Amino acid sequence: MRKAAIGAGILLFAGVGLIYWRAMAPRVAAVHPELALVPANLLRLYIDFSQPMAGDDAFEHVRLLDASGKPIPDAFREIELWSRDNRRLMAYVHPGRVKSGLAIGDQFGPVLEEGKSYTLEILPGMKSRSGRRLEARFARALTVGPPDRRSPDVSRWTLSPAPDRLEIVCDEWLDHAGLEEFLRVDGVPGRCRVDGRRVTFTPERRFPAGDYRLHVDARLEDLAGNNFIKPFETPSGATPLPSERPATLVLPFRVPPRE
Amino acid sequence: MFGKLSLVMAGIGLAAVSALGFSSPKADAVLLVALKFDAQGMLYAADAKNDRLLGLAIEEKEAKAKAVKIDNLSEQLGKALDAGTDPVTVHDVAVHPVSHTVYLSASKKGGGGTLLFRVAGDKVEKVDLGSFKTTSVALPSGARPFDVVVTAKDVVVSSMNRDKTFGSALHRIALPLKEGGVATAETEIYHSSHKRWETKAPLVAMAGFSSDGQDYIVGSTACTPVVRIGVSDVADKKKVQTATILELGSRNAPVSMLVYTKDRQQTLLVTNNKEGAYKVAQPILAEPAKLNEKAVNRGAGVAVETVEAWKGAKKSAILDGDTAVVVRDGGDGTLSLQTLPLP
Repeated sequence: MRKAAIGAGILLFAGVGLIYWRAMAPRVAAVHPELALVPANLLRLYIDFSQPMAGDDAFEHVRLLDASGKPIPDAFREIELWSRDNRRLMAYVHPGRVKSGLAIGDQFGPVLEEGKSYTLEILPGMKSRSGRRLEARFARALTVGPPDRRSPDVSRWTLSPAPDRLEIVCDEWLDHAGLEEFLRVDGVPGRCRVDGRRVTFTPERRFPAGDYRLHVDARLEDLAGNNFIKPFETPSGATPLPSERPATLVLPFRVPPRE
Repeated sequence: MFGKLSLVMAGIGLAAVSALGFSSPKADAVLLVALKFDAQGMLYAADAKNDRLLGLAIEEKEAKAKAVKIDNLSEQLGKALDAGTDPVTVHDVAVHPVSHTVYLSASKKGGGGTLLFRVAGDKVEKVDLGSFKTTSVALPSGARPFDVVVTAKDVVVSSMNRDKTFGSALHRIALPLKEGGVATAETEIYHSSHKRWETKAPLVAMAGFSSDGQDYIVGSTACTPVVRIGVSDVADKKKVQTATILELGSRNAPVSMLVYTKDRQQTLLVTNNKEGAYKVAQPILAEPAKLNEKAVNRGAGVAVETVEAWKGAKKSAILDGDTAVVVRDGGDGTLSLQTLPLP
């Protein structure tokens, strides 16, 4: 009986250790946009990790593969830009191959071509700050649609207010990090949760009935870098002066009284 | 009875797992991506982990510059950083203006933080950051620093916003450093290759120079317009439109920049990730008219000399009037520290 108890204890010991060990390993938590069909001029991807990563080795592990599984050279501008907590890596699709008229794009073509399929691959081995490495390969399939060269259109957004939240549906997929940062309701503290084109603003306290204003920072971009100030690719001389640029766009909404 | 025993064993298991080092160790405190000394020996270091500019007062005795040569730099740094089989990265190198001691910041790849080293003979030795009187200033929220220029009155830091706008900026900090004293100007850089203004392209390499009593910065984005900016134009909450003086070409990202005077001519030297350093003569550096759309293009055959003797040179700093110290990539994963004549 005693031997059985000791055996069970050892098994439990090993089991708890294994579960803890696995739980402590870093993993890819999400890739934004969480969209299978992306524009041909997609500008950036965000890779969220389950724990702070060390950095400095990201582009040895992040690759874009073509339909045959071959890595695409110079797919990303290899400047590592991590969020302050080192949980989110922003990966620029090489701007020299997204923008028109640059030598590298002329020579090697765009990274993403309409109608083709690709795989974003994150190889095991990338280090976290704790010293653990990614254990599993991550892959996300991407299919490429037409390029997007137009600014987003806030007039096509729909707002659905309720006492405990404001549901916003944007006219197109917008930059994930931008949506988390660039929306606010005048005078109402709260948080935004982003799910594709849909954003839920949850106030810290329920909205009393009344009129409100949603402020949208004009720097908010779509997936191709077009914002409310200008499309991503603006000809020389066409960039609006700071005095001519809208700082924010305002969308009024009303929270009805409770019945 | 057995239930209690199992719980005790599980508790021991958890404790053992932690004791075996599976809990998160403390990460290194700083990531020093750029180093520059002022004339008095204050080392300004851009910390990309905490988005701060540090000032380290490094007091040393006067000494003449001596050539440095460390063939096994990566091996020495690897041991000092406990890197094992991981490669090491040298983020920047700087030379003390009084003692001519060479300093460098380095980390093991994926190590998350840097240590500071000083060169002593043919060895590198760790430097305790806590041994210096240190001042520091926070950069604006989200500003990830890239490079630093020091003038007699200011330090200028280039950055890119890491949180939301990804906009590029310059920050001018008046000396001596004090918290809050940061003037931030967004940058607009003309990229003559495709006739567009760039607002999300940080200056990844910069150097300072003076001309006719004015302080200037010369810098380049990774994609490679070389621009000139008057330090006095970097003003708070303003946009600074830089003057593009040169296009370096494609697939040749700049790594470091030096401006030195030889034969009464100011010369810009740009190390890069592709070939020998690019030597840019004073007429281009001081060009008043050929800017932006009219900027000269190295790829179009303009006479920008490629100095083959500098092939493999990455981070660099002026050692004395005639030489520079460079971190050189051997092409086989090894790094050395060498002294090269300024071309």
